[in-house]
Amino acid sequence: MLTSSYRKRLEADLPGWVAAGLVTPEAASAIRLRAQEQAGGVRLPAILGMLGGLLLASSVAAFVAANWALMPRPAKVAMILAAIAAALFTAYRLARNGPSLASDAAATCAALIFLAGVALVGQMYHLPADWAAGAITVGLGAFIVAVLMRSDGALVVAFAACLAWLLADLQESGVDFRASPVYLLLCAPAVIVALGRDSRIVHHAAVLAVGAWLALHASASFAESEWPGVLAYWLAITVVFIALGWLSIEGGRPALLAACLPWGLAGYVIVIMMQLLRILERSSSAPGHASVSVVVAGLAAVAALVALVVMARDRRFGSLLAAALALACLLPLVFWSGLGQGLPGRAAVGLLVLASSALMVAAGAAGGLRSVTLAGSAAFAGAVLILLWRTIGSLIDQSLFFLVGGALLLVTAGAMRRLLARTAAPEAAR
Amino acid sequence: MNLAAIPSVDSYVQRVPRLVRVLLCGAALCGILVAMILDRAAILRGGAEVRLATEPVDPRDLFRGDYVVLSYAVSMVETPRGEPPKVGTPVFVRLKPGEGGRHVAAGLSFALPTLGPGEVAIAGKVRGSHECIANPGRPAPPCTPGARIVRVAYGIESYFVPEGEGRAIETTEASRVEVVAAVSASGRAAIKRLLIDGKPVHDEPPF
Repeated sequence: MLTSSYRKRLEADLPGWVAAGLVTPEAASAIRLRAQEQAGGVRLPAILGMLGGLLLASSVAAFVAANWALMPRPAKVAMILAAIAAALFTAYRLARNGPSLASDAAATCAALIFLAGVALVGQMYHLPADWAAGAITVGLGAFIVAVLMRSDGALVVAFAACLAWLLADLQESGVDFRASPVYLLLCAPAVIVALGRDSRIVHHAAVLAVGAWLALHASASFAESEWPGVLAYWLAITVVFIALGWLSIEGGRPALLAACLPWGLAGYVIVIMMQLLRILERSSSAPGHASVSVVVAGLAAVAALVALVVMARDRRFGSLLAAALALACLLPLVFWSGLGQGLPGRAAVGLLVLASSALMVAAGAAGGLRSVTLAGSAAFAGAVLILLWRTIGSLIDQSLFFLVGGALLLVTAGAMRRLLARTAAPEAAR
Repeated sequence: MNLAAIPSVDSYVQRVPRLVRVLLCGAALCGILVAMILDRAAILRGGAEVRLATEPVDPRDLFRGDYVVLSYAVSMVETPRGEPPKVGTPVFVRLKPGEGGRHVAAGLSFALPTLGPGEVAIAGKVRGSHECIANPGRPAPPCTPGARIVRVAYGIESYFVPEGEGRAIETTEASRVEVVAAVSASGRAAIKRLLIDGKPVHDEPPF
């Protein structure tokens, strides 16, 4: 399905293309017709239906919270069961002509009422406040709805329940912050179903659910000595996500992996900013140590970088992006080398962050990918602000650092301009 | 491997008639809810009764309304000095009848213990532990100095009440509030009655 922003862009571009003689008026009409077909029709009733369903589920939740004693328990349970049946039947009726957003809304409503039902039964019968067990129950119910009713909304509820279980399990363990492998048993079936769906929300929910599990394998604890390893691990994971996202976008399939790109980019910006902040504080710039998971993630990151260079169809973009990420991957090495507590280490980290983010902007511009440009720009701007705030040494040192950095970038820009002019194919050859 | 060529789960599920899928879905969701109720009813009907001293407080749950958080005297179990059990570890606490018919903790084990006459084993999870310390010049602690005190949760720490009633229980003097819990043979517990001054104020039917 085409996104609304792409359709608007197409509508704006078509008259210009027709005027320039690039597209015939007949072809433009055919493109418009095709775009309308793929837009999925008017969505307003379905959107209102979805919001209405959400309010109905909230109404049941508030009713549960009131613990209204005037109605006997069996009547309340019967009411919940009837509400679930009504929502499922509505979804069935609405899906007579094939799955639609409206039938999805009704099925999602059934999953949400089931969630409220679990809370109601827990409250009425004073069941143990076991959040992990509650999340598994809700996740299981939502997953059943998602599969049998082909509902994307219920699948998102199932992923949310998976994440709730992950947090509840960590809270339960109290001392070990590594995610349990049991989580994958819950999450993997939902991810397999999500692979066959077209919904971008489902893809993002799936990537977030898997990403959270991976991120929580950095270390058993978040003690000060563990942080260099934790950040190195997270950085490696973001590199893998960015590479997977880009390769999926270029290849067109599987669409789910394309959702890895924005989450990977967001992670990249956050992690390199944290690295920069930590190197500028004496108390947090100690080398620390790395666990086996950091080494494994590091090897995966190296493999992802190689894949980016070798497999990317747009070699120029792939190489620039791989270079940007490779520079970021050098950051943990500065910490572990022990240089981090001196001026050379701080300057090295500052330079690596600025160079990596500048290359990221260049990669985004070369590949025409706005999200990559945006992430690079955000990282660059954030790094400059942090360096002005915390300063590498004295303000004179800082001024010298920016002077050298700026001069290097200008020289690189000039060299790149000449290189691109020399290597660009002549217009006639295109 | 061409991932696009692999058929999706949906393509298999679609082969089942739509009405059958809706009925299966409804049966699964309603079945899960009914199973939760039946499981707890079985404990209430067949479980051994234990009477526990409590200390209630009254918070509010955003989704589930007013509830009374109950902390029990048997929530703190004294064990010999040694390696503290990890948080979240499943344990069994042996309860024996004490003064006034109230049950007291008689020991902690990691497997279902052998029980004496009148004793009941209740299952729980470790929530933390600390050492019993006697401070000079202060009153003696209600435990053996040097022993390890393990905090255990039994899943009967929440009792939901109609909106506004939680405060009334909270303001009642702690020593006047008791709970009668039913404990199944496997150690799982459910609140059966809430007592104030020995008189039932909330009685739980199985359904």
